[in-house]
Amino acid sequence: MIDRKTRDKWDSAAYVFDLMGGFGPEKRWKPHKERLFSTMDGRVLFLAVGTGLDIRCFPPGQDITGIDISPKMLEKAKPRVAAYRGQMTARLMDVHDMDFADGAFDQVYTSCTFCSVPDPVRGLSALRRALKPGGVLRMFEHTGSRVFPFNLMLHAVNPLCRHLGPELNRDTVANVWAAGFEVNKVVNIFLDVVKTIEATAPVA
Amino acid sequence: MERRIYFILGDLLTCIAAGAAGGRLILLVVPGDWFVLLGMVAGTVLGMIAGMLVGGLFSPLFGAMESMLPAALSGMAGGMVVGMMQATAGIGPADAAWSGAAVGILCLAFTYRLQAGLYGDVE
Repeated sequence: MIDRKTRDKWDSAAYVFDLMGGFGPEKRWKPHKERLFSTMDGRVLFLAVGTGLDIRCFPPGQDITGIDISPKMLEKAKPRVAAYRGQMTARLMDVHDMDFADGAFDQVYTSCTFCSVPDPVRGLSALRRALKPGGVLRMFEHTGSRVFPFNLMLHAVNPLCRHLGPELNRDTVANVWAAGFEVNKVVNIFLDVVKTIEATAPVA
Repeated sequence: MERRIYFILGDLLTCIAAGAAGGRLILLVVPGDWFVLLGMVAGTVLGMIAGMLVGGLFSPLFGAMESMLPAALSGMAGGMVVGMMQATAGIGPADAAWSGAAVGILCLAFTYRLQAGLYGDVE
């Protein structure tokens, strides 16, 4: 079952997504993303594919299943998925309602995703289910800030931003803990806003 | 720390533009005989909005959060300073833009300093 409101929001954003994020933001974050994604190994789930901008940062030769909630985003991602030098499929799916078997993946990667998932703890719990016990979740995300005055700014602009696209004031690290993961490592990339998070699905 | 000259110059340009825009905008809103505190508050709020808009304009070129946050800070601080100056002694349009731009440079320096302290592993 696809969350239609979220799907429509990102379908609308698909037309300008590459224009807004394809050059400056991607160029700026590329070295950090390449470092994070260089650890891909085994069966990998990537959430969310979007227009496929992140694919250029993936190491070649991996077995990657990508999902996204927006058909229009996936349509734009098609050539980038096809050009990947490895095995990659991109499927239309809502993270809240994934049809993968329990423990289907060795690793899960996300990139600027959990600013937009409507119920982040439920979405992260679904990822934990899809990961094998001991599997690793690695995230490149932007979150809220604890530093004044940036925390104030992000809270102030969030009501507008959430209608257009991402939320800007989420505590994603706390959400990862709340979803039952063990957070191993958090690395700040820009201030305490853009960061990478590494967590492990607990062994039962 | 950002070491690529393209992004450093881009950050500088963004903060100068955001500070100048914040300062110039406040001049249109705050009259010369306002209570100083009111001028500063109006400058802070409107300057932040102006800074965010400028940051949004530059973000496709220079980065999302890396443009928006220093730009919003530059607009906010630039607006506050110019709002205070306008409410106390009055200030001309060019001086408002220059003052805002100067504050923008200081805000970028503050952000870079903060970034140097925050970058890396979180304990």
